[in-house]
Amino acid sequence: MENKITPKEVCFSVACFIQGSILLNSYSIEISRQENFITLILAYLISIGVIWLYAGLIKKYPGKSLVQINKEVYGKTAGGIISGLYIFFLLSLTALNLRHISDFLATWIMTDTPLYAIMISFMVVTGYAVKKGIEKITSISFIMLVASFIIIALTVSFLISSIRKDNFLPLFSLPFERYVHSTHMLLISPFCETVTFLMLAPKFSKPQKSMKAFFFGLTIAMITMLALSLVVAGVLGNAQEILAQPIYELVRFINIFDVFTRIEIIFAFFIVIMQFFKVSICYYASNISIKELFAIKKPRNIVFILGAFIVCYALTVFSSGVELGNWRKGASPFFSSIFEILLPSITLFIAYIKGRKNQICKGR
Amino acid sequence: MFLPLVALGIIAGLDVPAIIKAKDVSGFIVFAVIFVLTLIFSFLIYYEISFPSTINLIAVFFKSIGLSYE
Repeated sequence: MENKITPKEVCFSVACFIQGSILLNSYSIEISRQENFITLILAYLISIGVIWLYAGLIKKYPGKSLVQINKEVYGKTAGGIISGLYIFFLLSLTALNLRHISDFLATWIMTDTPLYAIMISFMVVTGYAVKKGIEKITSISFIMLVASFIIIALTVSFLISSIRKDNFLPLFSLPFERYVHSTHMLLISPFCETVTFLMLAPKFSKPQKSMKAFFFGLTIAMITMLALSLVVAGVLGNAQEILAQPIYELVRFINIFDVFTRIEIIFAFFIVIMQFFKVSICYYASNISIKELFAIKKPRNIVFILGAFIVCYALTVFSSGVELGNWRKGASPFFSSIFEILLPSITLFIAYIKGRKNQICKGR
Repeated sequence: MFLPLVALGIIAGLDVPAIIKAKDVSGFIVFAVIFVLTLIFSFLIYYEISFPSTINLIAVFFKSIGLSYE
C-alpha cells in the first residue's frame, strides 16, 4: 500500500513549516515594533479564511495536486501557463528560504565560511530528504515540533523575568498603514505560504479533514510565534527594531546563574532544523510540480540537478541581505498574494461555477 | 570553474543513466534544460559576471505599477 500523509502529520508539518519562518518575523518587527504581536494575531485570523480556500480546493478535487487542479479548471494551455508560474513561485520560495538561512548562518555562526559552501551542504541534505519522499519528511514533523516546543518553552521561561510591562506601551500608536503593512507581510509569509501544501494534497490520506489539519497546524505555529513575539517585545520594547535578528540576539542575553551562557546555539539549531523542514517541503513541491507539468516518469532523477539550480538561483537572487529585506518589506507581499490568495480564490470560484453548471445540466 | 563542473558531472553521472534506463524522454529533456541553465549560472557566478536578478526585476515592475510598500 502506498504511504500516505495522515491528518495529524499534515497538522504537525504545517506547524513546522510556518515555524521555519521565525526569522522572517524580524522584518515585520521593523514595521510594527512593539505591537508586532497585534499584527501577528490579525494575520492569523485572516489566514484562517485563506486556508479555508485551500481546504475547499482539496475537498473539491480530492487526490489532485495544484497543477492537476489548474489543468482541470483552466484547461490544458491556460492551466499549463498558471502551473508554470507556480513552479517559478515555488522555486523562488525555495531559493529565498535557502538564501535566508544561509545568510543567517554566514552572518551569525559560521562567519568565515563562504555562502555557497553553506548552501551546497544544506541542499545536499534536503535533496537526500526529498529523494526519500515526502512521507519520510512529514513523518519526523512530530519530533521536530516537540523539540521546537521544548526550546521555545525554555527560551520563554528564561526570559520571562526580564519582561517589563511598559515595553508594550504605547499601544495602537502607529499609523494605520503600518498595521496593514505588517499584517500583510505576516499573512503572506509565513501563514499563506502553506499554499505549498496544495502540491502535497495527492498524498493526504484523508483530504476531507485537511481544513482541520491546516487550522490546528496554523494555530500551533501561531501560539509559538506569539509567545516569542510577546517576549521579544516585553524585554526589548522599541529597541527591537534596531536589531537585525531581535529573537536570536535576545537569546544571547540568557544567563543562568553564570553557568549556562551563550546558549543561542541551541536556538540556532532550532532555526536550522525548522528551515530544513521548510526548504525540504518547498523543494519537494517544486520537484513534484515539474514532474506533473512535464509528465516526467521518475521525479527522483531530477532532484539533485534541481537542487544545483536552486543553489545558483539563491546565490544570484540578491547581492546582499539588505536587498532581501527590502524585497520582503516592499514588493514581496503583493507578488506572493497573487499565488497565495488571488489565484486560489479565482480557481475555487471557477470550480464552484463549473460545479453549479454541471448540476443544472444533470437536473435537466 | 573546475569544482562546479565536477559537481555537475557527479550529478549527471548519478541521474542520467537512471533516466535513460527508464526511457523517460521528457525527464531527459527537463534534466538537460536545468543542467544547461545551472551550467550557465555557475559560469556567470564563477567569473563574477553580473546579470539582473529575476526577483529584482519583479520588484522594479511591482514598484512601477504602485504595488509595493515604501
